Amino acid sequence: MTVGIIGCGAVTESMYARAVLGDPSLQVSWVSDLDPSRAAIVARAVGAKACPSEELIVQADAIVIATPPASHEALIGECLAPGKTILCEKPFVTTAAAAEHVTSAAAEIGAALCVGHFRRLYPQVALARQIVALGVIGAVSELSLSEGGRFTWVANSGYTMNERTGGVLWDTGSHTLDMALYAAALDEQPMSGVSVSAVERDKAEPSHDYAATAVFDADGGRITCRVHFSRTQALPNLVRIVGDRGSVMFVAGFDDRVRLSTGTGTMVIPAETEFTNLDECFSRQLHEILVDRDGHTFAGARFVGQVAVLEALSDAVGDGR
Amino acid sequence: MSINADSGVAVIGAAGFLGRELLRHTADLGLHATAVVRGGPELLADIAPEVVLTSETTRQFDTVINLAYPTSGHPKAYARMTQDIVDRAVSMVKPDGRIIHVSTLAVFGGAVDLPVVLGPAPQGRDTPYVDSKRQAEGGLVERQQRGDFALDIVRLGNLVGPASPGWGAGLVARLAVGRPAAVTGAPGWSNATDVRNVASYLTHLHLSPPPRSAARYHHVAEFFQASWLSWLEPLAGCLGVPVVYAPLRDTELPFGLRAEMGEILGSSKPRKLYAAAAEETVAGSLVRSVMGRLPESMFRRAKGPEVISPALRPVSRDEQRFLRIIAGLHQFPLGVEDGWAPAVSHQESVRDMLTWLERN
Repeated sequence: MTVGIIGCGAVTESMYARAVLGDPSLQVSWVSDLDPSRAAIVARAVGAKACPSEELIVQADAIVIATPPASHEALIGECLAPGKTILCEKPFVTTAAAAEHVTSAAAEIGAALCVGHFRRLYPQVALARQIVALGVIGAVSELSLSEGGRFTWVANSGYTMNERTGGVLWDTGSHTLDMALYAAALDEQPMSGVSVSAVERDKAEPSHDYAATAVFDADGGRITCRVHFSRTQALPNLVRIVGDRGSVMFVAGFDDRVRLSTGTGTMVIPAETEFTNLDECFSRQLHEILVDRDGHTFAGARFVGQVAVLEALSDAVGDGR
Repeated sequence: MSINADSGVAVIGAAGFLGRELLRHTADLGLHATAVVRGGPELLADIAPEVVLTSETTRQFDTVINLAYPTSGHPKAYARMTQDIVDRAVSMVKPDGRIIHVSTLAVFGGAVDLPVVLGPAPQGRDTPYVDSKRQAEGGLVERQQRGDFALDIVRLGNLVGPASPGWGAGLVARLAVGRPAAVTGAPGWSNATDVRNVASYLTHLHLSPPPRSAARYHHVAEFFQASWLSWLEPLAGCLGVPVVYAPLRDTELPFGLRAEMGEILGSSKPRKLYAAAAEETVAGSLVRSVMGRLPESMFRRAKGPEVISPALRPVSRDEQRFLRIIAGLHQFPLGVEDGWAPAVSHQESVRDMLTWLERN
């Protein structure tokens, strides 16, 4: 499968280029960027041809979209064609309606649409999902997640500081929220009735410190989801999934253990894993989607609910400051 | 130099945990502090009256407070990055101005293994972080001796406080998933300092007469005798988890070139090669035929022990270094100027960390 990457910014330079160079079965043939000089840099690094996106879209069997989130919906639309594989970087798209639209369109035309939430492969996330799926903690009713620390990521386009969907909620929060939803097996459930309260943000979007509580219906129950994300202060960086018989807790960064607590006690369970760092998870995600053509873990339809929650959190009024 | 509360103050490296607290503190006192950062000026817009990029400013200031040190990139570049930081601080201070350089207790070894003196840091090789801290101190002292600015070197203890990345969020993460956060049989002196007290002390220095000639040293660790458990137990209680202890032997690092190289090269000893090769086909067959010709006693010596006790298997180097700090075997006593007292008590510091965790 021939691969092209649209968007030669920081994530392509730092993550995709490294993954491609470390996996001989991953060959990138074309790269494209609005800034030709950026495309040239990445092209040299991965041994690809820099070209306009129109040419890339026609030529490549698989297309990676690594551009700012506001451009994802339109680009996905341009890339959809029978038999194509599209890997869209996170955050997926910026509205639930857009998520429904592109996933339906992809299914209709016979294209595979995936979203790059590689943290699903983190050992602790996979283990937590297995524990929850076993029913050990009962029916999930609550999610509590925080992720915060000094922000050092430099997006070449500046979107993380300038665009509504570039703030900490969409940029970092989409990662953490997806970890929680995936571990709680809520990503495969339809979600509805999202409401948001107790919003505290440092400024209008793109905000750099965001906290709120979202409530939504999923899996036959009402789920309360408390979030806090920050680029300006360290947070506990924990994800906690609470059910009616217990809870699981794990850290938001790459790790290999989960704490399980029930009414009778608490224990830490180590995950058996082949991965030693997050780069390996990223690389494996690419391999599964682009080489194995087995991207079911990352199938676009599984992220519609996540986008709905993010959209509601983003649109909620209130700053509390 | 006359003392002027409104004289220009630059804070280099203002984007971090201490920098943000310092900016808040100076703003509360009505002082104008200019934040000097490598990028992301928008992230300080709510707390800094003025933010400039390192690459763009050519201004000079009466007081330069340097918090910067290498935090990213490959360690082999740390020496150059440290030199750049020293050069920048010196270039930004006015003639007859003052540099207040923030350093660390780790210049006496990550776990304060070396004798602590209120004077020049010891020489010697250490981790990239410690090397860069010693280099920065030495570089600034040398420039001060040749130049026309006053120099204060402020060495901080382990930085705690609400939202402390290392000694707040880092400890919480360890507690949450049952990683060792204390050491059996060790005193566990924290050598800690609350970030708000540090901001207070740095501001106190800025408003106080500068040193007259040689560099002046300060050690800020007002909670140096407080145990790590005084933070860990409340945090663990809030999380509903026990504190896990590591044995003291897990803190034992090899010291010196011979010991370290011995560990590194140990993985290629003949006994390990035999164990790896013995089950192979071609290589294994050759190894087995060679070993089979040895006298039994020589064979057993070459092969090595059948079983290595798990208790003797070392933990990772990073883990050892963390455990040595948490074991708190040595103290880093307070050494500050007269006329300053920490505003935040130990009890308040612990309580506020707990509040931060409860709210998140």
